[in-house]
Amino acid sequence: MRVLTEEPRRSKTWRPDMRLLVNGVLQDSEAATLADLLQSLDLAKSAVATALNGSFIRRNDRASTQLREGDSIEIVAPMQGG
Amino acid sequence: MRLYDKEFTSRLLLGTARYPSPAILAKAVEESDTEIVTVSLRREQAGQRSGQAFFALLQSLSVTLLPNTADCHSVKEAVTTAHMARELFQTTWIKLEVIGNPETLQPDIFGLVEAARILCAEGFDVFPYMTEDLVLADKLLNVGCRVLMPWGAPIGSGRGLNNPYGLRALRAWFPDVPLIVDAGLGLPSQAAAAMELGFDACLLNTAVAKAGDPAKMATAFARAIEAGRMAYEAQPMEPRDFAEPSTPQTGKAMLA
Repeated sequence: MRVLTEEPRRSKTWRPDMRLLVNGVLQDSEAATLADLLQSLDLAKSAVATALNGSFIRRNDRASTQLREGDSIEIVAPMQGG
Repeated sequence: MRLYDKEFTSRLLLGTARYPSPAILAKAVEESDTEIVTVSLRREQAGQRSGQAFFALLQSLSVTLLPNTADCHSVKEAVTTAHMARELFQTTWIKLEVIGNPETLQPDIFGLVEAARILCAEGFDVFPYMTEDLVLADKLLNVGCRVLMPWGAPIGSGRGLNNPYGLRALRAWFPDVPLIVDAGLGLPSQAAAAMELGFDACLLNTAVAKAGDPAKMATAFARAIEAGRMAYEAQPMEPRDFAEPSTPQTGKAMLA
């Protein structure tokens, strides 16, 4: 049996997964900031608007918005409406 | 027609939901010469990216966008949605809905006034979806709204004008405020009736989107709205209870 003795390799920014509620779905994420989260979802350059725990977060503030365990993030896009 | 600082020729505002396909939506907007369409904000699923495709379609239509706060039931929800819409659509326009009843989808008028107050103070051009109530209208104007959008009937009901008396009173009391009948219209004749009352425009969605031929129905509404407006400007005759011969009686031959 092979025993792992080494710690997993970590980058400087590595952080343990945390649970986020993204558009109503719980998911594990390593994203440190809202901008990182959008990057990981391939939505960084998309026409989307964001809210964190019910408050609007401007596009320009995404990179400085830290995410924490249990945060609820909404990512919305233009949709059909009446 | 002037709405906030923009001039429009068309008096038909179209919703973009519930069409059989994006192509049919585009056809309905183009063939009816609609200049303003309503849009919403909904969750974007990373894998599907349906919002991005819809946004591209909107941009190809070259119309003015009026984002809504549909299905918001609280002031906070509506205000946050408006903030997101302003960034996403790059517009200060917002169709403000604060819903108070899940069955009739009628506005929570107290929340509506409060949300309108906040958004007007922040520089939004607010289009409040409201009931046809004079006092409510006055309060919305006082907090900064410069356009009012009373309902004709509950959203999606197709019932037409539930309260022509109330709508007529609103027109009479606020002669200089742009008034748009928003929601509840099912037929072009109902839109014409709203315009004959002196309303400035009509906003509808389901009546067109759920028609067998949405583009044709959108055009039918556009023409009815134009006809109703012309009739209003032409100053209709006063109705009376008894007949009044239209053919002159003088000169009639004695044949009896």
